[in-house]
Amino acid sequence: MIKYIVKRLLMLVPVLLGVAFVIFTMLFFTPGDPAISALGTMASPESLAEFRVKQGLDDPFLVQFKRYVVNVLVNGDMGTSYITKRPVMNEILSVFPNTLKVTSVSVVLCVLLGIPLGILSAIKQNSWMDTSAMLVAFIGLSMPVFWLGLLLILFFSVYLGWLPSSGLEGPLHYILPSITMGTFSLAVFTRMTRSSMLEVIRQDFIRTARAKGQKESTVIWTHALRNALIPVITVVGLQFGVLLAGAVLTESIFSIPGVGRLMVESIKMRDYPVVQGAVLFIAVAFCIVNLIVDLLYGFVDPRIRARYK
Amino acid sequence: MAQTGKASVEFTGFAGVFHRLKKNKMSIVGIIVLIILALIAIFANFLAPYSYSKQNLAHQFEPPSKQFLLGTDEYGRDILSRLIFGARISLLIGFIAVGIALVSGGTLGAIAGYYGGIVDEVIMRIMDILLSIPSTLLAISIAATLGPGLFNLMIAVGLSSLPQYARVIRGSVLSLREQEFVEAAKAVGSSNFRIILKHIIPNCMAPIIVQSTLGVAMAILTASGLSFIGLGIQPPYPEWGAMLSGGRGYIRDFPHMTAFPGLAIMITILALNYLGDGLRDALDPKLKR
Repeated sequence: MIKYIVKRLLMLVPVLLGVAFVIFTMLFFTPGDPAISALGTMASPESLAEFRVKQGLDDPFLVQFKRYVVNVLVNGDMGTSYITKRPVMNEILSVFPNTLKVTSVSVVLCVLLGIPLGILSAIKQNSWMDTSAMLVAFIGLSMPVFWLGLLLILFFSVYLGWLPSSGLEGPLHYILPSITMGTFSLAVFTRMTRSSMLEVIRQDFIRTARAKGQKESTVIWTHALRNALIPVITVVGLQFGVLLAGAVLTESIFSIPGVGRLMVESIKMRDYPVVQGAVLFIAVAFCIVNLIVDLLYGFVDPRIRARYK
Repeated sequence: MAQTGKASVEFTGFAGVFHRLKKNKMSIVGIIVLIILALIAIFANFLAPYSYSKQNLAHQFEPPSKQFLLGTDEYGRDILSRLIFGARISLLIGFIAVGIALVSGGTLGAIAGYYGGIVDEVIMRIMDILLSIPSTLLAISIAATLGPGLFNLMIAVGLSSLPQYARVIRGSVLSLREQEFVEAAKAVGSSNFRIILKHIIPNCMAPIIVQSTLGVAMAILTASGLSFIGLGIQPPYPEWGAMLSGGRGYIRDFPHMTAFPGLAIMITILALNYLGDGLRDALDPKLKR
């Protein structure tokens, strides 16, 4: 088991480096002069040149990349914002907790609602409950996140005045953003759980359990569910990434000061160190979540562990 | 084949697929909706009652009326006309982005699956790295790098979904590679390139079709999301996501500006998803319902 954990951790390192490389490369080739972005268009050529030398912007690409990685790993320094002049890491860390809070509420909601719904739909296949649940799930899959958010604001904030539409001051403020972010994932979970359960229920060992005379609830809970949930765990990890990416849109709509909104604003203002840092941060968070999910997967499914012995 | 009452005969091949697809009513609805959308997109110039860009400040913010069926936006432009032209943009983006992803990802996946070994390892590691970044985020980064514009948006959305296509096609190629007809082709002296192109790819069509249909839906969703936050399409082009973004500030008083573009997006995605789901069920030979 330990071997499995260690192996997965080691595999993470080149992946993270690769992710950093991809992100760094993309933003490296963004048009525009970083010196002008930082100092303004009125700056003199001398100060621009001085800035470039100080930041090492004229060094070859790989040298700059190596410097960036070393800075991040050793100093936790992702550079400085062109606009606010504060360290990028500080900017991100000051807003990340908000993103994390809303995303966590979303995930919990999705899991708590989606999995039971999926199970029920599978058990009562083709009943009116099943068909309506699948219909709702399908609509949830097809609805654009930003439109859903705007509709919810229109309905619950503007017309009914029940819920606030921006900021994160109190618990009520979490409701609309979480629903907005989570609807897509909720739909995915419900469908996945349902199809996974359906597949498991058809298997022979379930038939054996029933033939043995086990109570139906035992058959479902002890035998079917445990096996059906295994692929669902992987999907949870993947959906976390979708949620984080969806945070970008949701935070813009609900004016939540999180990493997503930071990214969007920075793109608009061409504050590339922050953009780079924010994308890298989210990508790393995504990798870590997937790693945890993978480890959980190995813990739950003994067959995976056996492969790594 | 004698048809005795209900389907007591097994249809195979294309006929079989079509037959199974026909049974799925929602897929048929999806196909019809998509055909209508395509027609709207193609004949936009004839169908739209007004221009999509001409401003008409005397008629700002009008709610739906006989003159402007879906109302007007902040510049007095007819929303219905903008939606009609928007259909053209969205469908174009969807298909071209998927085309880009399919060709680039598919080629990489086919090469990885066919040659195996270190080529496979390297390509798949790179795909793993790309998959470690949520695809919307990847699209945002690429779009931020390339700058605004319709073509850049297509590239950004296309490239961000590349790894999925590589994976799907690699899987199919891997399973087909060992089959006898490949061996036979090799024995006759076909070049590897020819084998991949003429023999393997045509047999992968089922997962490619499913992935592409659902992919167009995702591409349209991602593209409108990018336009919503200001990357991609520039005004005055009537992309649905951009229209939503434009109407956002006026949602309190003029909700029709956001309601209709969003509805358009949702109907399109819904139709594509139903079709993709139906195709997946129809093309899966193992599924016996």
